[in-house]
Amino acid sequence: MYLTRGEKVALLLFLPIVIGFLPPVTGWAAAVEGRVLGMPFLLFWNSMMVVATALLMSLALVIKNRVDRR
Amino acid sequence: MTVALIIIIAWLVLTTMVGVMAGVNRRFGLEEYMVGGRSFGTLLFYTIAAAEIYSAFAFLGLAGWAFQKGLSITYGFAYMSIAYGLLFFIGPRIHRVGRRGGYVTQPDFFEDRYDSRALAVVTAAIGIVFIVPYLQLQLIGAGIIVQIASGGAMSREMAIVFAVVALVVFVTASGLRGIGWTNLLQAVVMLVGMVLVGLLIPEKFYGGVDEAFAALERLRPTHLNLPDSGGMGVGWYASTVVLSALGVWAWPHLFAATYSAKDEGVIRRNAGILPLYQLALVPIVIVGFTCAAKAAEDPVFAASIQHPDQAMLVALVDFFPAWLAGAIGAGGLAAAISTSSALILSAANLTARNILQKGVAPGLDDRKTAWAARLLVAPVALVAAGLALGAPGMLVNLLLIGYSGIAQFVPAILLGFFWRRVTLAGVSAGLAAGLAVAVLAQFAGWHAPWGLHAGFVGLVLNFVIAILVSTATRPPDSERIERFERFLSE
Repeated sequence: MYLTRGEKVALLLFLPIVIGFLPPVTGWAAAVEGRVLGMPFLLFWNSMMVVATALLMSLALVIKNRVDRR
Repeated sequence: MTVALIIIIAWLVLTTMVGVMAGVNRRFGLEEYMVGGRSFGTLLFYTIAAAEIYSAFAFLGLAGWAFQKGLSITYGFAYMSIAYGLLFFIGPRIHRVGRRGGYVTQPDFFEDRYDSRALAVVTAAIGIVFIVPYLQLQLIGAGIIVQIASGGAMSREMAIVFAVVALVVFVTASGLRGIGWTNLLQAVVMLVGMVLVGLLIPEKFYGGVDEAFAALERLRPTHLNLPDSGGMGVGWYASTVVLSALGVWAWPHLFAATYSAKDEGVIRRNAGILPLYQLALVPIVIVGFTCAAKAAEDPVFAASIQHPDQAMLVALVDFFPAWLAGAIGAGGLAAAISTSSALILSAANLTARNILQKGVAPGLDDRKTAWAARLLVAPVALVAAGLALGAPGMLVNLLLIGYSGIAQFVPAILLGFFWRRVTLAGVSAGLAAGLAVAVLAQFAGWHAPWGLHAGFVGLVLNFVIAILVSTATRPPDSERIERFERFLSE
């Protein structure tokens, strides 16, 4: 009923996703003035975090498989 | 008949044909009909998960929210990304116990884990109560999309009837497999439509995205802050993100979708691929902001938008050629239909499996239960269509507490997987308390402190009560827990 060793390592890669999408990071990103690629910074930040989520969870799969295979 | 309407009808016919063809030459037993024979690979699972999540809200609501309220719409990217991350950890567990335990619905899991058929019947009933208004909303959304995109050539009511006929035909014929293949088509059309509209509208109105946001900053500066024009601040944002991220996989149709994967690798690969689908939503959000700027300086355009959710479609019909409105309308219809089909199937399956076979008609074997589910597709769709046509506002309160309500299943799911000491009394008491808070907030007008989402408060209370009551009651039968742990082991 518990996480495997590989999943525990994967959890470390999941944490930046949670942190990046929640306060205080959200408050900071909403307060940044100016636009990036034409968008308000929070919208740009969340778009980048979407890409980061895809990369981190893909990496989590590779690491989880390697750690649990050992 | 207008060009736009011809495109939309052609799309609906093509969808129905693909859905029906998916089931040709297949024998539909219980598992094949309800969970696609547990055989879906990475692509088919991707379309099931993506298209079922991105509903009419993705086409109408996202732009409407950005148009009316402002920057708080970015919560959508946050909660979905976190939900996909959670899929990596929860999805394979749901899949594993589902395969080994022979589950085909979400209440099957609750029944087996907590040794209670009554809990299964209650959770099935709660699931249906929240699914029907959600389904009704999709049908209303489909009607609005077709009516506006066709320039009024087809009425909202007629569009709902056409959509329901198409849904009933292919869901009855092919079950989850038909939904998977139609979703593959829907996903492509949705993606193309979303990106196209996001590029064209800011360019047409302001000459580009940067110029559109510069205009909005000048005309409606509160729109681009937190709290925004809708008054949504950081407290609301954080609590809604957590509630919704946890709630996604508690929806019965999405929980059961994980049973359909061929293996756990399919689910974990999708945790990495699915987030990218959200990038197609960024253009839709930009369109909502662009329309907000346009409406602030063009009173004629502002007056033509009767409801915020119509902003994007009105802009398309008023300023672009009819064929383009038709193509984008087909994309919006695709979004509504892909979610509707999964909701109809889920409500029919819950009724057939957990209320009939395991409740009032225990004599039904699996083959007859699969047939019962197929026969229930039409009545479920008719009830939702009747409500969408006859009383569109009747279930609005249930709809508003949809996520708050369905998220109250989360403690029973998470504690069920990760805490062997959790008891039936604990999750039942927690579920009752969480639902009570969600209902109280909606019907009695109770507001949670610090701007928090009331459903989030209910969820926290639900967890606390589930843990306290479980600790205070007799531990569950150890043999049953060991059997469940064997199901769970990799």
